[in-house]
Amino acid sequence: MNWKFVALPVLAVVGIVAAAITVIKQNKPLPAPLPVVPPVASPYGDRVSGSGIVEPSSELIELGAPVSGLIEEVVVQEGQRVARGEPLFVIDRRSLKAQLTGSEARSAAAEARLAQAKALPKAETLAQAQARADQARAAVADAQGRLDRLMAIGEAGALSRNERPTREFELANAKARLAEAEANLGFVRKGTYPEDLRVIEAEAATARAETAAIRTELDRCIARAPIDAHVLRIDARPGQYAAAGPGAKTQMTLGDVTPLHIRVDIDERDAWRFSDKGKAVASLRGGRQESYPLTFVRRVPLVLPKRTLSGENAERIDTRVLQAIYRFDRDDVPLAPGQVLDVFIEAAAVPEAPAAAPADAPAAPSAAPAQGNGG
Amino acid sequence: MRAIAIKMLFGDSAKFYGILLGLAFATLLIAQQASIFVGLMSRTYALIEETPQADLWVTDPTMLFVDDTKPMQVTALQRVRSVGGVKWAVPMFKSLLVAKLPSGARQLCDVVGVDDASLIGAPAKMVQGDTSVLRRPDTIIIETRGARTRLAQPLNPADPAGPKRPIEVGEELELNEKRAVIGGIAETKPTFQAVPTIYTTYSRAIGFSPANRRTLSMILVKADSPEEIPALRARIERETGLAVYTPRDFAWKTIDFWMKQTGIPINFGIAIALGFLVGVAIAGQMFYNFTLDNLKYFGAMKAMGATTPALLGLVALQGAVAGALGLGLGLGVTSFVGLSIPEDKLAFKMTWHIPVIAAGAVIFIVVAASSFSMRKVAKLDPAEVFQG
Repeated sequence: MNWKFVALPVLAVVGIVAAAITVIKQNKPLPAPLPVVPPVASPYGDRVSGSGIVEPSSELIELGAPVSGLIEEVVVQEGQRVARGEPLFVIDRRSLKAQLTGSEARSAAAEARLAQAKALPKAETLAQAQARADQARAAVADAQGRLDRLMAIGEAGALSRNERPTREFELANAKARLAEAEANLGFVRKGTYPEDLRVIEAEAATARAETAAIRTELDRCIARAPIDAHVLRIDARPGQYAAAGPGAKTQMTLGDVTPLHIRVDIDERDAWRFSDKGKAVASLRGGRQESYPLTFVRRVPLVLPKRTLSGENAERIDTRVLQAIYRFDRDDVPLAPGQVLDVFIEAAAVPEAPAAAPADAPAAPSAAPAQGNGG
Repeated sequence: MRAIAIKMLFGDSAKFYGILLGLAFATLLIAQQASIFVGLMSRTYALIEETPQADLWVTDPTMLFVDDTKPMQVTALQRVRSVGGVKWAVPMFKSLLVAKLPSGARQLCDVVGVDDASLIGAPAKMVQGDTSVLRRPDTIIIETRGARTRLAQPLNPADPAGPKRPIEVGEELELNEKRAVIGGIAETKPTFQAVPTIYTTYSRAIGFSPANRRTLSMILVKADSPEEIPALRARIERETGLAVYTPRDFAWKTIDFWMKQTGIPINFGIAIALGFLVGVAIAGQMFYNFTLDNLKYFGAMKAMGATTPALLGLVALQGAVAGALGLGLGLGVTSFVGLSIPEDKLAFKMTWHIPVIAAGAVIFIVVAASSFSMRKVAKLDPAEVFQG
């Protein structure tokens, strides 16, 4: 009977202790795991925060192919610095080169014809015509002489009566030949007529223009750097087909990376607090806790739909953002265009509740539909 | 005289054990059911508990509970970061997605995307690997329960219905036709919806999810100073128009939702009430009978000169002893059950309220039962005892 007096209270105490242990054990708050990297914190008390994308100071220049065709050659490499006008890549030029050969031949022919026309009269032809004229003149003199001699003999003879018309006829004939020879001489001496020369000249000019056009087309096959910049990305590969025209694929991306800029997206509902006078700083998102001071460059006057680059094919537009562009103060920032950073910009404090109410009120209705449509 | 009272109580074995059993059983029922109820409810906000780094949770104002993700605009994060007094703010993605398992089976999973840089929100207790595996491409972290149960793979690939083994690190799932490699396994608190949880980075989680315009489920905020939290909460609400909760409020909002939307509170309420009734009926009745049976001894003591208050004290003592023993045994069995069954098999969470409530119920039963007994003893005429 004795065991009951001990065992039961002991059991009961054990039970209560067990309950206490359970309560303590099950209600311990979970330990907070240390963050792998501390999240980005703002250095300013009152600020506007935005996400910024690093871009070249020239902005990104996305070059398409100037003409459609196979890519013949890629002249530059990624990261290379190129001067304005330097060739970047070349579109297949074989057919244009063939056309150029034909056109150049045609042009040469036209030029030759022109030279030929300009070279008239030829000395030989002129001499020949002159000789013919001289010959005709001699024939006239001869005929005149014969007639004169006949007339000197007298007019009595029957022979002379028969001879005279003959001689006169010979003279007229010789004179006519002379006129013909002299006309011919005049024609030969004149060379090419100006009207004909103009036609030939025009033909030559057309041929030249055709050649020049083909040369221009050939030059257009070479994509050139529009400004002094760095080659940031090359999508063009020799042998690939590059289409030209609106919506065509970007073949090469250029940009001037000295200095780097950062384009900061600020939500339209925070935009009213943004001031270009405020100090600004950009922080790296992962890995390193470094931040870089920024200097204001300009703001985009148009508020744009935000583009969320999600890695999906479809871009998602959610809200509208004010874009402000800042320059990195340091030139040697270890950043590259396209990188996304968190940006904090010093801003005016938000007025406390009573003052804020009227300021918020007009903003709310205009913000609401934009939010609903979401762009 | 007190010793006599205790001997009296212990002496009548049948009745004594009856009383004890009744009280212990009532305690067990009340404490057990209440603990399971609390355990079940605490599962609804497991994610909040798992992420103790956050001082405040920012959500869409229409969000009803923690799993009810109503994504916000992506710029909401920047707007919250713009609020003065915010030390840091990180995004969190949460959504149910269907995963295709290596065996080809499909399983709904709860995908949690944590901040890419700081990995805040990633599970604290890793069993295999560590959270930095999320830095590797296409990597996810799963939890032990999911690995053992819903995500388990058949031992023999040709027999998908056959015995299974837990899925392992290095195996690949497919989320929306995108590759997801298991990089680590974590131990997390069981969730109410009991679907496997997959942890990955925020940006990767967006990649896994079908195209939605809005992707930001929640924002976790740390205050510059802990004292400032209530003021900061009001400021964020005012400046952004979003809903802001402390972890405690968010948990309660979630519990509220489930309490109102499901029959769980009524079911458990009935069970607890039954426990209480059993206590009253068995233990109260037995205790009264026990006093009646022992009335002759009380009469004898009265005849020997014991005053009525002294006798009532004895009854109270008997009641107190029986109550304490019953309560102790009942809580002991409850705790034993609660501690011995693994957390993922039984939702069991005993808060300090539960033993207190159980004790209150036992005190009520004992007081009620002994007051009847006391009336009998008080009215007792010693002469009656000797007449019988």
